[in-house]
Amino acid sequence: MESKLYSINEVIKFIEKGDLLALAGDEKVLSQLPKGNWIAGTIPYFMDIEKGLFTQEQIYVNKLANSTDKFLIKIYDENTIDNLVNDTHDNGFSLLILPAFQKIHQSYAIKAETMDGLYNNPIVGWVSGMNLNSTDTPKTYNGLEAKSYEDKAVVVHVELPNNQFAQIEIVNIFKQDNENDSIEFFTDNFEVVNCLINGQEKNLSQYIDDNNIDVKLPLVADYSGASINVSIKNVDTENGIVSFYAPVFENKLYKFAKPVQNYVNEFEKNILEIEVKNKFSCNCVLNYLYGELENRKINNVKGLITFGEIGYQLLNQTLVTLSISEI
Amino acid sequence: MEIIPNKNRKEWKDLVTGQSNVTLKNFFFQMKITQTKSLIAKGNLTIDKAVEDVYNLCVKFSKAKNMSDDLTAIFGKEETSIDKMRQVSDTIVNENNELTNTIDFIKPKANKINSVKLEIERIRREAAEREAVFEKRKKELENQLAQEKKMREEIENRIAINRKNKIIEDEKKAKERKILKIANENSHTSQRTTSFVSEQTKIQKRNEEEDLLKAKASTRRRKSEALKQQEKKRTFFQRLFDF
Repeated sequence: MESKLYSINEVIKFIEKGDLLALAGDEKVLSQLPKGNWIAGTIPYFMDIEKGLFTQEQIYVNKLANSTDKFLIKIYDENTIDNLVNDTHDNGFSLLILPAFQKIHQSYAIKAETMDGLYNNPIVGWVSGMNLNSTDTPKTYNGLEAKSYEDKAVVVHVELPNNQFAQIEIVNIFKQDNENDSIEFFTDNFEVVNCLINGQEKNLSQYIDDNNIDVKLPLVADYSGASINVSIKNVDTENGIVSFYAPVFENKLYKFAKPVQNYVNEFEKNILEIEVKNKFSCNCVLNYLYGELENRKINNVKGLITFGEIGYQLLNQTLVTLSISEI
Repeated sequence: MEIIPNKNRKEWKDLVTGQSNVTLKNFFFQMKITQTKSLIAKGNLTIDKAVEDVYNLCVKFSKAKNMSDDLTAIFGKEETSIDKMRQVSDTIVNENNELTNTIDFIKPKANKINSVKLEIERIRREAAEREAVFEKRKKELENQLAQEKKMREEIENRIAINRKNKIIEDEKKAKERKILKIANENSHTSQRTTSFVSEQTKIQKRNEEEDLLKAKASTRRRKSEALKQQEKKRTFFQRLFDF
C-alpha cells in the first residue's frame, strides 16, 4: 500500500483488512472511521505526491505493519508517558502522536531529553493540529475503540523480526549561523524571559526586537553533529516573554539559524541523503507556511505537515522519516 | 568498519564524556551521545554505564546508515588483515582476561552462593518436616471433626426420633381422650337409652296390663253381656212360659 491521501471509503476498506495503519486527517473524517488496528491524529495539511495541499476530506495513510505482525496500541497521559520506553519491544519501533498545546505535549518534550532507554528503539511521530483558520482542537485517536482524545498521547509499539531494524533520519535545512550570538538558558522550558547572550544576562524578547531577528528562523542547537531546532511561537515584548514550539534546555548552546532563501531547493538538496522509501514521513507546518509549500512539490518528499515532529525528541521545522532495513 | 571496537577502547570514554571532537552523522548516534554527555555532566550516569549502553546500541544498530562512517571517524580507519587479526587476538586475550577476572570475582561469590543454597536446603527440609507434622495434625483434627460430626448427627437423629415419638404419643393421648369423650357421650346416651327403654318397657308393661285389664274387662263385659243375654233369654222364656 502506498503512503498517500485516500478517500474515507478507501480507508474504511483498509481498516477492514486489519493491517496496522497510522492515519492523519481532519476530525470530520477521522470521526467517521470504524474500529480497527489504527491510530490517528488531526491535521488537514499534507505534502502529497503532486503538491502540498490543505484538505478536510481525505485521510493520509501510512501502513505500519501487517495484521499478523505483533504490535501494541497504548494511551498515555502526562503522568504515564514515562512508561512509554518500558512498553517497547526488544526490536522494533514506536509511533507516537501528541495533541498540540496540551500538558502531555509539553511533558513528553521536557522528559524525553533525559528519558532512560529513549534510544533503545526508534521513536518517531508527530504533533496533531488543526485547520489554522478554525476553532477546532487538536486530537489523537485510538482506532481500537474509535475514540478520540484532546489530552492524551496515542502510541503504537511495533515489533520487527530479528533480520530487520528501524532507523530515523531527519532533514533540517537550518544550520547554526556561527556569526550569530551564542544563547544559553537557565531552565528547561517552553517559555523564557531572560537568558545568557554570549555570557551576559539579557531579556530575550528585547534582544530579538533590538536585533530585528526574523522570528521565522529557529534557534538551533548542535547535538553532536545534528542540528536541532527550537521554533519561535510568540515574542511578547510588552511582558518580556518569548514562547517556543519546543522547549529550550539549560545545558545547550543555541544560535539563531542562517536564513534560508528557497525551502524547496534546500529540502530537495538534503533529501538525497536520506532513505526515500520510508515507512513514515512528516514535515513541519512552519516549513509549509514560511516556505509557501502549498501547491508546490518537493521531489521525493511526501507525508504529513504537522504541528511538531518526533524523532526520539520533539523537533521543530524538521522533516523526519522512519525506514525499515534488512540486517 | 565490520567489528564494533572493544568497549575497553579509550575512544568510547572520550566519546561519552565529550572529549572526542568527532562530528557524527548517524541521527540515533548523535542524539544518544548528546543525551549521554548531558547525563554524565549532571552526575546522573557513570562513564562505565554510559559506555556499556552506547556500545550495546552500536552493536544493535551497526548496520544503520552512516554508523560505519561514524565508527571509522571515532576509532580510525580499518587496519590491515594482520592488524585486524592482532586486534581480534587482543580482543580475545582481553576478553579471556576479563573472563578470568570474572571467574576469580565470581568464585568466592559462588562459594557463598553454595553455602546459601545449603542453608536454603536445610530450611526447606525443616519446612517440609514441619509441613508433614502439620499435615498429620490436620488429619487427626479432621478425623476428630468427622467423629464429632457423626456423634452430633446421631444425637440429632435421636432428638428427632424422640420428638417424633413424643408427637406420636401426644397424638395417641389425644386420640384416647377423644375416644373416652365419645365413650362417655355414648354411655350417657346408652343410659338415656336404657332409661328410655325401661320407660318404654314400663309403658309397654302398663299398656300390656291395661290391655290385659281391658281384655279382662272386655271378657267380663262379654260375660256380663252374655249373662245379660242369658238373663234376657231366660226372662223371655220365663215370660213366655208364664204367658
